[in-house]
Amino acid sequence: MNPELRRNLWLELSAHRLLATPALIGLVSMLILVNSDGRGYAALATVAGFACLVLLTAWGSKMAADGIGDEARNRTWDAQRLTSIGPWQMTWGKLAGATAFAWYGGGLCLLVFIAAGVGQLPMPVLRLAGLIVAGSVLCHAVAFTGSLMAAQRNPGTRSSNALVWMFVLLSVASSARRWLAVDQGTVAWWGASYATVNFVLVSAVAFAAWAVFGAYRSMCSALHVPTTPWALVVFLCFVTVYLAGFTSLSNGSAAGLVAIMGVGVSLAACYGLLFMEQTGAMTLRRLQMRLNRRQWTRALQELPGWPVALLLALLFAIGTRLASIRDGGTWAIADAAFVFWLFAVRDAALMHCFAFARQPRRVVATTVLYLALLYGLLPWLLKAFGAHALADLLLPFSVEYTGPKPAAAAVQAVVAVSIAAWRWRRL
Amino acid sequence: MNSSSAIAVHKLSFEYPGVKALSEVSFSIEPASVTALVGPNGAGKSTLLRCIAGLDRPLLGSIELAGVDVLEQPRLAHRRLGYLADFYGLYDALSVRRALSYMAAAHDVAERDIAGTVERTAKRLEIDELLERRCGELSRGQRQRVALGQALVHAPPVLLLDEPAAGLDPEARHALARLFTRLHDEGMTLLVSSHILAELDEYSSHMLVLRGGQLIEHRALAGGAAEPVRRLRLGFVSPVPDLTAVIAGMNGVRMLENAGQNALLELTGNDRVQAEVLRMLVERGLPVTRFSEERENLHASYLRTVGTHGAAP
Repeated sequence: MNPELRRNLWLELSAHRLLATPALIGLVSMLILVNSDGRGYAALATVAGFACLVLLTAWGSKMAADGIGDEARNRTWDAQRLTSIGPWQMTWGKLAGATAFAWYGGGLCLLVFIAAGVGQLPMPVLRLAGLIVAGSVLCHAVAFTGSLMAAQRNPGTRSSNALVWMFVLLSVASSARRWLAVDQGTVAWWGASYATVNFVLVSAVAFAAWAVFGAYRSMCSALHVPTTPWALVVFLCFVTVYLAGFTSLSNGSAAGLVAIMGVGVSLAACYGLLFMEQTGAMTLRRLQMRLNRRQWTRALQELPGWPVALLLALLFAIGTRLASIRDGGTWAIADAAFVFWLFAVRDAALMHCFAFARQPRRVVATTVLYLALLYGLLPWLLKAFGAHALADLLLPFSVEYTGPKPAAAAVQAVVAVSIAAWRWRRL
Repeated sequence: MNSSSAIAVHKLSFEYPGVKALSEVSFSIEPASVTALVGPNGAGKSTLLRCIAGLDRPLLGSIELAGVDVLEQPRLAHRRLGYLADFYGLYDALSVRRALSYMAAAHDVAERDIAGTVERTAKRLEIDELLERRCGELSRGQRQRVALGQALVHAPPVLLLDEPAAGLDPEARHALARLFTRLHDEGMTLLVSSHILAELDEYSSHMLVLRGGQLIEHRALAGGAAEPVRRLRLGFVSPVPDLTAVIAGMNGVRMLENAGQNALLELTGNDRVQAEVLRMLVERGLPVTRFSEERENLHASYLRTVGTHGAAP
């Protein structure tokens, strides 16, 4: 048996919990059946479904995040990293083990939901149950990965879990909303029509699989098992194609739509990774050493995710321009792609200006503060003084992406990169 | 890099922003030795141990542990390594038996062997009476032993210890020293970092001195089992005027001190060479009252090394 799973089961599934949980669920079920004014099983199924979302999805995500966070705080994480447990064993052992009680309690609720709901609720109960399971795996894996990255970036802190929790709450709220409306209507995707419940279920399973794979890759990084960033590129391309399927094909070619979607997805990933993953002077110094020695594979293994996403965004931006030329040069958005990319370069460089301090502290918080100044306060002040054109140059969003806009974005990017490079040399 | 070494470190460099924690450190540690890793605070001792254990990735350099490249195959290297950090944690809600069983399984001990391995480890560390108690209920000394048990449960050939005696009472420290001596006798290689040199003195055969992230010295301690150089204290009934000339005429012997009725020699060689030196002294009619091997304690050895290399960079 996976030792990490067994250790978690020892901690999570005590005899008391094993006996008390079904007894409690049974008593609450009886109470609902007795007091449901004739709605009986339908009311029970509804309550059981929501209980499952709360227990399995929300509580399970917290447990998954704590599976790493508690280890880091209790100083047992290093001892675990020193074992011979491989990254895959460690990942699924923790994911399944830390959430074992949530699966036990949530699983019982799910059984009640299915048993009471089939034939009683006006919705495909079994497929909804599948959706809850897939959604829970997705949330657990994302919370787990977020916690793992936070533990690597800031060992022993709780603050970074706020982002994870935000995601979990949003996911649960979204799941609950979809749970109520999922049986209605169809989804149009890449020109074809699919029943919403089927489409959401397949999507949830696919993204759950990606999330578990992402957790595994993060674990490889935490255990210093060398990997190259091909998986990130494939994932971003998958998300790009998936999201492009929802857009209308009337505005341009499919390739153009994929390309512009790729810019958006890659830049979003770049910002996310910039703030989440372990980066900074030492990471880039190791990378520099590998490059200086022409150790290309080792250099790829040292490469953080954000430059990969940034490079992919540039390739997609070039693709957008090529598609625009092929379609007669009518795409203003092709110019916008480069402007957005240049702003991302500026922001990444800005963050590294703070990361390249001799004793870097609160790099993310400081960067967020300065980004708020650059994207909010400064343009607002300029507009207040009537300098609308100048304010517009500080923001990537615009109605016009030609003329001074790209030049201004390029100047900002060059200045930020120059300052970061100067800071780097002073280290 | 010497493939027969228990630990081989080659040009290891590690940096924190603006600080070189380790600067091109190279050494190799022979099997079945106990090496005292000494140096002032901030010398890079803990960083070095963490790099060897594969917990921190160095900027440059390579590390081999019992023939396995730690940077390329960290998981395989961990099967051959036990590590006790200066700040460690235990699973407080688990019993000692379960904590040890978990670590045994996590280090690929076969399922059928785990129970026996746990019993043996507990007996070796004298914690067999604590097996059913929860880790959270144990005293500091007992927790230290359980943590050490977790590091040893898979019988690794190499054990790294970072300040293992910190916070322990004298009795527990003595017990720990006895344990390390026993492990050494069983053929295990130990690399121990500590500020308490007197404690290291009890069981160390080698000394590795770090200062400002640089390796100052790595050598066998005088009197250590593997050391071909030994120090001999001589005593005479009365001062010997031509002692320096007599000693200068002997092969493999060097005068370190001459205080009239007392002298300190450095001898390169084995017991046979030592016996030959004694024979020559007696044959020349010197009134020898004392001829004994003197082991330089670690404290003195460390101070001598630091004195030779001057102030910290």
